[in-house]
Amino acid sequence: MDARLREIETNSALSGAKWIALKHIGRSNPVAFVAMALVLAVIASLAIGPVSLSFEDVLKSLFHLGTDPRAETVVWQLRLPRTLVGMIVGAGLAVSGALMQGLFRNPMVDPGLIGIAPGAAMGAAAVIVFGNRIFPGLEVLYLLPLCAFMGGMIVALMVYRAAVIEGRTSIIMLLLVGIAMTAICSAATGFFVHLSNERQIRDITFWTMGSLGGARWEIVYVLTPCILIPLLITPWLARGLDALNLGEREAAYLGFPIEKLKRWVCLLTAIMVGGCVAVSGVVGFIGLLVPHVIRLIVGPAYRRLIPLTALGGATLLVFADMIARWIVAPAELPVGIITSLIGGPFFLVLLIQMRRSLTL
Amino acid sequence: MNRRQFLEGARIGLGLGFSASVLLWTQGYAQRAIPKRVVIAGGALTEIAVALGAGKNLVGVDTTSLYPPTVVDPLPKIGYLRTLGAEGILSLNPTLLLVSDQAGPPGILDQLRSLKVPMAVVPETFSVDNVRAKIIAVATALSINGKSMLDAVTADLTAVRSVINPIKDRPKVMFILSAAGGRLMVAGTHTAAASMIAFAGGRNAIEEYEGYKPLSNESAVASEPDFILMSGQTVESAGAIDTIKSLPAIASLSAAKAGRIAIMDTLYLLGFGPRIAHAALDLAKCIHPKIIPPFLPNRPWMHA
Repeated sequence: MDARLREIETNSALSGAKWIALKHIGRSNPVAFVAMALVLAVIASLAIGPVSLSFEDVLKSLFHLGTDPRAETVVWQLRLPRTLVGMIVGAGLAVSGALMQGLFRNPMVDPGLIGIAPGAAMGAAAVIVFGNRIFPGLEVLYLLPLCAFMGGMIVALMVYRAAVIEGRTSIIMLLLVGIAMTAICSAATGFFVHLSNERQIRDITFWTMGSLGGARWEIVYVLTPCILIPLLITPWLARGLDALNLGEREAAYLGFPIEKLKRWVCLLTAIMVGGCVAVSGVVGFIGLLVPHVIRLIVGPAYRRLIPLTALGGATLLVFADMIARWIVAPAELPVGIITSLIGGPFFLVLLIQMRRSLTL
Repeated sequence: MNRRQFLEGARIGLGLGFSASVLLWTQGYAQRAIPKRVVIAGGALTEIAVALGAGKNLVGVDTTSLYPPTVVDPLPKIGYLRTLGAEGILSLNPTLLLVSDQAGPPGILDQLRSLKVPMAVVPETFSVDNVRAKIIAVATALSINGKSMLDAVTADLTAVRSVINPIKDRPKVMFILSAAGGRLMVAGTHTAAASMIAFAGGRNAIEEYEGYKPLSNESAVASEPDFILMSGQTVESAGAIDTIKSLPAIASLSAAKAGRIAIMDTLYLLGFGPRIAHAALDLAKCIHPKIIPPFLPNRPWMHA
């Protein structure tokens, strides 16, 4: 069995792509390489921001040794929770993307595909437009993430239920029902936009571009278990996802509990993406981009892919967010713009590479 | 405020009634120093602060603060009113943060409060009297005596009201926010435009919906407005007024055929700052050509 899987690895179209340089760096010690990148990104995110603080001040504040209360506030109330939320959301989105790509056996799959992100957007738009009318005076602060999460979960559940035929989850049905639900959710979101005033319309627009600006310690506390627990479960799915790469029937013949695997992938992805989207809005391209980069470096075996993807996703989002709040300071760019700005060109290169090596 | 001052204020208050309470308030603050580094989020608040003479103390404004351009253009921008970032604001070292209660994203005000930046939150609505409340709030926060400005704006508003209120005839006015791509975005109820139209002695032509929404050509015709009101920016982006007039939805309106089209600067018309009385009067002169306009003094804040 292991021999078969190793064969898949070497035969994979992606590992066949001509990214020799990247592979060379990565192959020697990929975990150390990505972990180092994450540490650098976290340091940069804590040290660089619109408020100019010396590196020494940041370090001192971090350990409550500083004498400058302002530096301590900036580091502890603003940069640290934001960096932590960035790490968690980045890891959650990237791993969800890897899981979805494995489930659909399609490298172009985004974690939003089974309707989680559009469902969450619909929930968020509903709160932005109707929140104050239905619950006057209630703080939108907590209602918005809650409804976005619920929206994502409900839609994902509906997609999943519709795709189960006689106890078997049909992947193609999952895809098609996902597309249908996405269309319905977008229509509902569009209708809410129509009902909204200018302020609400702007809120919806900015929400769909993603931002970590709302990061607070309470969010870190709520989000951490929501992402970390699914993340810790995913390694148990690794062998099954590798086998699934061969095809559903083949994986079943190899003795993998395929139905259980599909259920778990859907559940974990829904929780992770729902949680991420609820606190940060729609941050584009991390789920699509990061698993690909990691696959190019270490190959498609999920055992290594999942932890590295988590580290890589965290690195990209923390780094992108550092740029987002620094580049137009004292204003702030939506972080989704930065991740897409990095992700878009990469996606193009990837497509061109695939066209050459795969003749799509 | 010490005891002597209070007694003095109370004595004047007994003698002069309501106006003295404003005086008391202004006296109490006149002795404090104006905050040196002021950051403002909210266009009307910026306009009031500059009119009060605090322009040189501003160190940052949001992107809705566009007037007066000579003051706000060179200033660092802290982003759009609804997408403020705490660290960016903090990086300007403000000694006073003046924010509209419309600021966002949700939670930003609490976040800023927890950073212990001296902050004043000013409630904003699309009502004419809110302008007076804003002048009081901004002057208080800046420790500037705002009485003369408040009296001036109140006098201007009273002068406009005295001419508009007796008018029985209320023409229907349609405010077109944008005509991009030939599609009309028209003001409904609960908009700044609807408030201004009502204050200037008109009726908003569209009362079927709230906010600014795309209006179908047929509904535009069915609403039969007596006047069309547009912003100068709309005309500018369309190229020329004739381009807008030739749009099917507009061309079939009798108001357009008769040339009853008013074009006003959006910041001036919908700013809800100290220039509000002048803006309302300018609009009233368009939709009520027969009125005898009151004389409004040329206030210092009328010049950018």
